Amino acid sequence: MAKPPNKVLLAGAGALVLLVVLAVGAFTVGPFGGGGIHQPIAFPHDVHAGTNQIPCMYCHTSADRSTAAGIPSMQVCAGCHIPGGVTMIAADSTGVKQLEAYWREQKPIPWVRIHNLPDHASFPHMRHVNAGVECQECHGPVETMVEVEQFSSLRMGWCIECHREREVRVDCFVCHY
Amino acid sequence: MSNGPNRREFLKVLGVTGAGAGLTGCGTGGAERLIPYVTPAEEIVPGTSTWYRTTCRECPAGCGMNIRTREGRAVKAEGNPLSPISHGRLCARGQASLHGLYDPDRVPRPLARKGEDDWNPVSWDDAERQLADQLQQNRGRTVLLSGNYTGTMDVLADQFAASLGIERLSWEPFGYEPLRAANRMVFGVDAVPVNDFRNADVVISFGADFLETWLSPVDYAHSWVQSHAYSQGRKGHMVWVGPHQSLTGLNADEWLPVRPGTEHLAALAIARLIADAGGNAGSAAATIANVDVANAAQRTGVSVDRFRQVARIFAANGRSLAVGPGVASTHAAATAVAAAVAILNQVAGNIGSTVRLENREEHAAGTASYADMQRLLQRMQQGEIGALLVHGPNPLYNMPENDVVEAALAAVPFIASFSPMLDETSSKAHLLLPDHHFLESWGDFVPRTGVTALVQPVMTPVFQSKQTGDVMLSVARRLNAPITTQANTYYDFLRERWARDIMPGSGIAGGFEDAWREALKVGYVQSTAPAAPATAAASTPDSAAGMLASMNVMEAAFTGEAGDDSYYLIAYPSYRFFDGRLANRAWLQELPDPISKFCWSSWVEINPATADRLRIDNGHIIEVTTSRGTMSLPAWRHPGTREDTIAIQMGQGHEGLGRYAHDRGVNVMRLLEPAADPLSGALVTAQLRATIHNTRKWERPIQAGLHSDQDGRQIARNITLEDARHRDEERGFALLPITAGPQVTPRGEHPVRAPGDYGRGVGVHVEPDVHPFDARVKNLQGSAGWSPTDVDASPMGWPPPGTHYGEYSEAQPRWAMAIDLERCIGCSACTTACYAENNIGIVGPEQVAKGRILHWIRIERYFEGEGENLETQFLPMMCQHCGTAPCEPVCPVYAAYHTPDGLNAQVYNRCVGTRYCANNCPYKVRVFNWYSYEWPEPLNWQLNPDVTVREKGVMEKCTFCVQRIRDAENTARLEDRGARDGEVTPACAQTCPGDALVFGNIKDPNSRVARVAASGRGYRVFEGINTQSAITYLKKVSIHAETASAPEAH
Repeated sequence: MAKPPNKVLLAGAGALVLLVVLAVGAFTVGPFGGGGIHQPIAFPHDVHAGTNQIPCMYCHTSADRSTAAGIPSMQVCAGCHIPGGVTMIAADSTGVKQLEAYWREQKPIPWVRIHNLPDHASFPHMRHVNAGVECQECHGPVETMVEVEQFSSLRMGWCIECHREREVRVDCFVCHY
Repeated sequence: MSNGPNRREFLKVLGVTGAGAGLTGCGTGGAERLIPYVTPAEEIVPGTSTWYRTTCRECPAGCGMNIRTREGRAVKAEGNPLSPISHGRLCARGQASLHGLYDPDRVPRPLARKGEDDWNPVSWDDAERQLADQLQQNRGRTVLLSGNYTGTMDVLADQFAASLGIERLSWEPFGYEPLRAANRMVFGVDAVPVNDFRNADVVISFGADFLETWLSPVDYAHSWVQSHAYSQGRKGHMVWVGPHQSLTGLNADEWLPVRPGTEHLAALAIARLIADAGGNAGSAAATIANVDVANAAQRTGVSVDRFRQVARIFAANGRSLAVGPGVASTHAAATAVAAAVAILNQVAGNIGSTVRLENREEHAAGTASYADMQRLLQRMQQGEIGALLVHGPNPLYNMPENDVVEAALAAVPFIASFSPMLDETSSKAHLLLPDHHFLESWGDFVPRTGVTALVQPVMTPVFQSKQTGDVMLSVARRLNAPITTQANTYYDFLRERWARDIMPGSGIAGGFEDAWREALKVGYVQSTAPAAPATAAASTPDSAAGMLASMNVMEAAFTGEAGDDSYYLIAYPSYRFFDGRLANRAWLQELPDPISKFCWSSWVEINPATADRLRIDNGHIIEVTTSRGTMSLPAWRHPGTREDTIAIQMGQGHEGLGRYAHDRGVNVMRLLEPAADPLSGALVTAQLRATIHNTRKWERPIQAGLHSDQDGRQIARNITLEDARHRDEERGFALLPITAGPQVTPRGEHPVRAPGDYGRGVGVHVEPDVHPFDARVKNLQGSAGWSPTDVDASPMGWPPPGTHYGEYSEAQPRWAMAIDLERCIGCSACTTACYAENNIGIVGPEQVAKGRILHWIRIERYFEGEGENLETQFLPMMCQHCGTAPCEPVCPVYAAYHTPDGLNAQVYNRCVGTRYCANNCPYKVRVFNWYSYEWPEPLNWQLNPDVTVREKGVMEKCTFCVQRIRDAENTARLEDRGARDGEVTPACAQTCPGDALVFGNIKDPNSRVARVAASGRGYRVFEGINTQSAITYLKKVSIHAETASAPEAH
């Protein structure tokens, strides 16, 4: 014989789902995603870009000449920290020790992507950098971030808003092809 | 009913409580990894392209190439503009070379035979040891069978062979033996001279398909178009002599459909007529004196008048060129054809001008003949060969006597193959040592006298293959064989030889290193060293004299029953697959054949009159029977075939090679008798009569573009020379330096043909004597209001001032194209280039037959008239980027819309797949993704990262390569300047061997596209329906066109 559905059970299941969603969200969603994601090496952008005032493009070298800003090669890390095979600059820190291990094995660090542009959109970094858009306008105050989080939504509305303000093209075919 | 909560209620509760779950939405999905370089390659900047120069090895022509790589992967092939062979262009085969590199069916690593179709992977060390052991045991009993190496590989192979007691045999299925034999007889030169089409105003081809496969097709097509296409009141002339028109034949102005086997009689008759009119016969005087023109006319089936007419044009011009025979016209008298062609050139005074004996196609010299191959097979069968090394040739596929080849291969105890593919021959091997693809290799190649082209790797090898040069060096070292080199690798060997032989004392400060880098940057070096001295006639002097004396009566015999249901069988080379070696390139299988528009299959070409008599329609399955066997294949009615002749293309019907080639169509070689021409040793391809039987079974042809008839719609139009000249004069020649492209050299003084040579009209086109841009038309404004307005109809003036369609502004360019139909040879290289550039999916034969092929640019091919008056028109058709595009207003989701810079855009992420746009497009250029098509690993490596890969349910079409437009805009902005004319070239225009497509901003009156579009020959397709298209076509100038008189009825 059919029983009426158990409302309490249903509500319980719903609440559980909500909890799971919120719990997962707390670790993965952040403001727009990326927050709370731990990188294989706890790379402190605040120390590098903040305290030590290293310009963004010292490491992300192609931001002004390529569509991609570029993830620095291991050689760039080693150039400062392990010049000539001798580990220096915060040599005792966990991060640099990890770096040393990767470098010794000549293995790349499998960084986790934080800024993930939606599919079917092209974004040329160089056009924006050369138009005088500061890195921080989209990426936020990276120089204060211990762990980088996604600062902007990277959604189309957000792009369009800025393009309208600056009176640059808002044509679909500029980005979607 | 179930006891638990039902689905609907569960969703309701979830809907209330789980509102946040949808937040992540699109974009920020699961964790993606960013893997940095450990040590970056100096030349790689992520997100930008790196280009490398190399040399195409898909066919023996040796075109210079530019390869675009992204993040270390080759993604696009283009011609090297500095190359004297490719002139910056490539054919479809060159474009598809990337499919060879990423072919999922490549032999991934060395394999040793375990059993029938069963292989054991072995290490390279093991494989080389096995090979060394076998070579040691079989000293003096080993043969190295290779393609034509030329250059350093030839030197290495010679040393390798000498030190290990190996006999060498280089063989190319298209070996041009008759040409070499005839040049030996007539000029004492065992070589094939370069043909100078650029300086030839009149060309007669006796079956040489020089626009497709013959010798050096990209150079020949490019050069021929320069001299042949209408320009500033002048136009060249071409005559095709032969029973069957291939693509080259379809491009001829005149067709002399001679009976098969009589081409030499036609050539001699023309030579005789020229000699009689005062031509200098020289040493051939005696041969010519024997020629009876009336008899030749009777035997060829061409009237004396036609011969007289052709002779007059050919001789009067002074700058003419006769070429032939081709592979398809290699009949038993092929050497006589070649000799007659040489004599004809001599009589017309072309030797030393358009034919220079010291400038040779080096890739066509020095190979063994088919008869030599037959002798090798015999020795193999007799057990004389202990080990056979195969690098390149695939005799089991390419030779007619497959039974003999199979038995011969079985009789050899050890066969090693260096083939990167498991083709018919290599699948009989005992050891596979896969060679690199040429885009992974070091090397050099000598296409022509004085040109040494470099081959350099453009990326790290895809598979665990090894370059054969390296294997040879390594094996020789294992056997302590005395190869005179210090080189450890083939790369070292190559540089050692270049330092010694190619660039000794290179004269560049910095010495060899600098010279080497410079050579790699350019792609080749040109030496001014004199050519090797002419080789004296070495063989068969008696038979040569005999042939020269008797060739005027010689006629090639065709064996097989003569009768009503028996037809001459022509087997002709494939533009797409060459001799069959490229049949596993999916892009080429899917490319509609330029002649028949068939894809993925074979077909038999039958004259429409014959077909009518036998009640054969396109798609009827026909049984073709010769003395060698029977084959079933679909029929295609080809008006460029004589009524007593049928033709089948080579290149299909593979039993091996890979997933795309396997079991597609038929291998026509299996229908041929293994007969060699006694004079040259060539395989006689035109030798048999075949019977055909209509099975009455019909299958939908796997054909893209079923229409050969324009039905009077005036899509591809033509014009008489007189009218073209008249119109240009009216508009002022100053407007029309239309060949002003950087790749075109200005032409010198040419005698202009008398107007009377044209105008034998059979065309049906009648049109007004008004250029479309000059017309004032009633127009509908854009979305601003649909009110009628009077506008100038030219694409330069579009959009009309005061309209508010989209967000047009004066500062925006209008991207547009001009297509000169005089310069389009129908080769379809543009189509393959578009596939490569724009990630177009391969849909496969079943979907093609359903009309679901995804090509964004297609070549429409139309026939008008018949027989000797057959006129073929080619027309590249792609999105016309209409000013008032019918597709745009019908899209319910605004996926199809107009951009401010004049493009008709398709936004994939908006498209929901209603397909209204395609239904409303009058040009039928929009294509729909019925499935998500896949690129089996590693073919996906080739995908262009700048272009979206579309999936199921999305409409797509030509974008004018918008990614290239944006890239040029980005570059211009980085350099703080405006865009320059010529900076943006879509993939189709870039590769066009004839330079038919011109792209640019038509609003700029100085742009090349604006100047070309202003030609008096300009028109737009379906002008009358007011689409305001951005593509201006220039009419073909044709002797079959009708003089304009009556106004066009619209």
